[in-house]
Amino acid sequence: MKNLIPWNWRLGKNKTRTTGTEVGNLWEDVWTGMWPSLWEPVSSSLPSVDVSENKKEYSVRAELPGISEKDIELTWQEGVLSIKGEKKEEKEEKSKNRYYKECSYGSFHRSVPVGDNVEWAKAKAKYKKGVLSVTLPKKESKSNKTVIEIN
Amino acid sequence: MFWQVDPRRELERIRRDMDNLFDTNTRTVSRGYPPINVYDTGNDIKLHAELPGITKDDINLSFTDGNLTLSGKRKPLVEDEKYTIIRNERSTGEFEKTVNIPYPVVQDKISADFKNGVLTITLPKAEEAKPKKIEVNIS
Repeated sequence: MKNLIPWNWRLGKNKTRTTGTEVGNLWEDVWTGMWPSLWEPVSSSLPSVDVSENKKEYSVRAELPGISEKDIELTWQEGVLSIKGEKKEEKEEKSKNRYYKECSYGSFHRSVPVGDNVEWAKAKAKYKKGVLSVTLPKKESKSNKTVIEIN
Repeated sequence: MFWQVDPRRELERIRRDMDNLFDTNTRTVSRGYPPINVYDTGNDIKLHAELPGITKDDINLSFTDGNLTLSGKRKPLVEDEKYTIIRNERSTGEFEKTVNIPYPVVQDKISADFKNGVLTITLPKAEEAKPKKIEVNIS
């Protein structure tokens, strides 16, 4: 049913544009700008995400059962963490007679807004028990306050 | 939180139901946590359940009268009080799901394996339920 939606509508705003014309771009901006989250690829394999923070860091945890680490791609752009990947279905399972199929497979892309004060270079990620944990250390905030002396 | 229903997930659920309606390979759709796949490999019935972030000690499995019951508890991933929750999509709490296994199985040979948040249960079919090859002599 997802295929009924023109595919360029489903592009996030950071994706490459397919419509070359200015009017087309404008049109796309209107649609994606109105409710950006609506145009992200919707999939039931969209992982559930928990975000928490303490003084030093942010912690992002995503439920990704049955994925191999090499199929997960993490990117950081303007305060938003993108979790991209593919969940592959076992061949054995695919070919056999099925009674229930509730788990979904295929590619997913999830964007999680975190914040600007992150030192991405020091970010760490681990995958355990089907949960991806990303630790994003906060930038050490130097006080912006400057005292101006009055002569 | 007041607004518990995520409209996108609801839409997705409808889409999945619609897809299942036309997928002849899928006979039944059940509801509730955890999502499962059940399939037939000839000699065994296999069940996959997606249980990310759960330890095996928090899962209980039982088999009675052809029904397999999966129950357990989903605990919060972060229990450290020093952390403030900003976004919380993963639900927690107790769950229970019962699946009817369509073949007689050898109960004491049911095995389970838990890896990367996916629980795989293998239920060997009883001898009478296994596919048999019958030789027909043509005279």
